[in-house]
Amino acid sequence: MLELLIQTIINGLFIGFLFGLAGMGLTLIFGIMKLLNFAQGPMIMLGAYGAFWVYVLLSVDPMLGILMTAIFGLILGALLYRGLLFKLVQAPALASLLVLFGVSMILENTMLNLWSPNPRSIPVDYPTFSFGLVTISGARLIVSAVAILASMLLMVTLKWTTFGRIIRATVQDRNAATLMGVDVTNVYMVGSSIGIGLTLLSGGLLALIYPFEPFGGLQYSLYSFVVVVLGTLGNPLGCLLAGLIIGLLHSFTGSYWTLNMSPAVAYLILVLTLLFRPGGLMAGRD
Amino acid sequence: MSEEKISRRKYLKYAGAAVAAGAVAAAGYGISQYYKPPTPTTTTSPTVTVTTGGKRKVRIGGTKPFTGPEALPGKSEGDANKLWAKMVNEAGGIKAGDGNTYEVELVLYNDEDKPENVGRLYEKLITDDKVDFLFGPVYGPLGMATVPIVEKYQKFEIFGTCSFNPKDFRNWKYIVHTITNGPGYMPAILDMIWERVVPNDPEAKNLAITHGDDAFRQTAGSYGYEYAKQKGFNVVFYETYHSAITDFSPLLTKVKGAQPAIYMNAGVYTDAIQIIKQMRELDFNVKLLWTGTGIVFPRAYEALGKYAEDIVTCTQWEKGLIYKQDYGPTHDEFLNAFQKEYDYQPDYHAATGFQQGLVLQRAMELCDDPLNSEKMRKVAGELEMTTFYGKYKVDPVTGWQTDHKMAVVQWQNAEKVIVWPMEAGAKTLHYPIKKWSER
Repeated sequence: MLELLIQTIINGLFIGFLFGLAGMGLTLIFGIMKLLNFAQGPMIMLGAYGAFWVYVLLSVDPMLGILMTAIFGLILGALLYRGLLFKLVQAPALASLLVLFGVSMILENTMLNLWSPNPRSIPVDYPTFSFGLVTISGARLIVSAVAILASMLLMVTLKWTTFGRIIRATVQDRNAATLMGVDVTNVYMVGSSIGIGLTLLSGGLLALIYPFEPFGGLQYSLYSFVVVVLGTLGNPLGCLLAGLIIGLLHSFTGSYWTLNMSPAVAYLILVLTLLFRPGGLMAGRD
Repeated sequence: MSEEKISRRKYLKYAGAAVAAGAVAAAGYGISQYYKPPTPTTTTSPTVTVTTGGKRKVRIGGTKPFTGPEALPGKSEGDANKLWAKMVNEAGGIKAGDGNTYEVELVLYNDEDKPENVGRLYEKLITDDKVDFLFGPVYGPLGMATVPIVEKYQKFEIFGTCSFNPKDFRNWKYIVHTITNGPGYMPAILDMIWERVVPNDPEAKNLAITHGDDAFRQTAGSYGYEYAKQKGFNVVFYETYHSAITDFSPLLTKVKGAQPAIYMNAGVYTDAIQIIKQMRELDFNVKLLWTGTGIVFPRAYEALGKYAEDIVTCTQWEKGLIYKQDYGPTHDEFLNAFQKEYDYQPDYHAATGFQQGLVLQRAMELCDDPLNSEKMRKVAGELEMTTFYGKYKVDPVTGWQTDHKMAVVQWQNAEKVIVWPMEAGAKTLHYPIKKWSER
């Protein structure tokens, strides 16, 4: 019984880091630009396909593919901002939702044509570590380590660097930041770049563990929305914390009740959050 | 300077509205599909096999998902339909029971893997294209969409790879099945274990069974579970899971705790891949493993590599499966003709598509009124034959396939080896399978 408990906690933490990282890109874009990225799911899948493609074409370690995909995500985020998102920042909220929904459809169909509808996966061969009946997967350890590292980097950047202060100033009051000499357009572009870079990174990491397909992003984006709302919109630390909570709930529901109810429990948490703490766990905390 | 920002409250409002709108749209769509007959419209250009000469013609219509998530099975089955029509015409046509010879004309549309397209395209095939008979589309939900149309117009239809739960049958009068339906998937593997493994290793009676909760997985898994108990297996663990789940580690942790000798999961391709990867991560070893039907496809081996070795799965048909047949081309004749025509190896979808044609052909040969749907359905209901695909025999009243049995294959050295049934040339079964750490 103790082994089951320990394994359940380990499973939950591992998936929780992935949920947290996936939600972080979403919460960052919302936090900085107040845009709800409806293309989050397809972008996660794009990250997975990017890592897969590098792995297949270059026959290199999948981690290199994931790194390259994340860099591509940074560039894509900047280009997307310059080409499209800058117009949406001041547009009515509904317009931005519709445009990003359109982006998600374009991405999905592009992936469908490039990689076919067949589910794909990266056959990794990382070792598994056993301690009695408890096992720890090497692939999941790597995913968790990268997720923790990315989260820490983001939080340190936001909290203790000049650029982070500029971002926070822009988030608090765009007009005041402009008057202080901040080029908010560049701040938004960098925000979009980092947000989409993180999203593609989470997709690449996901491909180490799970199969993926062009239309497979929906479930991850739904979990991301739950994580973002629970962790407080725009708060990366809250996002990581919420990811861990949802991951543990998923794991405990599956191990001690039934996996059938796992999505329902996640949405129940969403409903309870909206009812009793609509600002999320980190509301009122800087 | 004013600007419109989205507040948290607004964010939640829009996100909630979007989710609610999606849910309402999905529910509305489902309801409309269930209750509303599709309206006929003209759309895609059909693929038509045109006949020549002055012989009589039998016009057969159908749809396949030539695009969309099921495009590959759609292409396989559609190619086999076309190959059958071509081979029949090259042999001079079908010598029917009324003394006339009929050339085959085939009209296939792309249903894009959408049930709403299937409904209206089957109505178009009947009312505009004036087809005599119908070939079913590729899987259960698409097949189900044809039922109200063929029953309304009283047109004889032969299903291909559409799997159903017997509880969904509602007095259908014009349909016959070619494949083994969902309830028969797991029994093939269970029979093999019972006959080939249990006599040497009684511990193999200890099974764990799981399955997804959608129509196909529920049917295959729940009927398999009942069959296992009836057969005398000791089911040490049984549970269902949400079909959208991708992280199976909590479930697998529990299954591992139950210490089964053999683990069987009724799942689709993604489940099958996922479960093997996560069993390895959890170092969860069993003596024999089935994780889902998708393991039969070569891309499963590409995705799993050495971890696919020794995994078993069931299949409707497989290259190398030789039956004592009494009708139609032999295994080799079908295989060679298909490869020559399309330059790829046929899978079970292709074989099923060819079998659709053979059932229609044989029924026409035996029927004294071979363009009459009612009479053709009656003949097809009483027909018994064995082709390269295996047995064909349906319940005369419901059209439910009763005699076609699934085969079982095992990945051995990157090749699928037939390990069941014994009478169809089964080879050595690798048992117990290697532990993950020894691969």
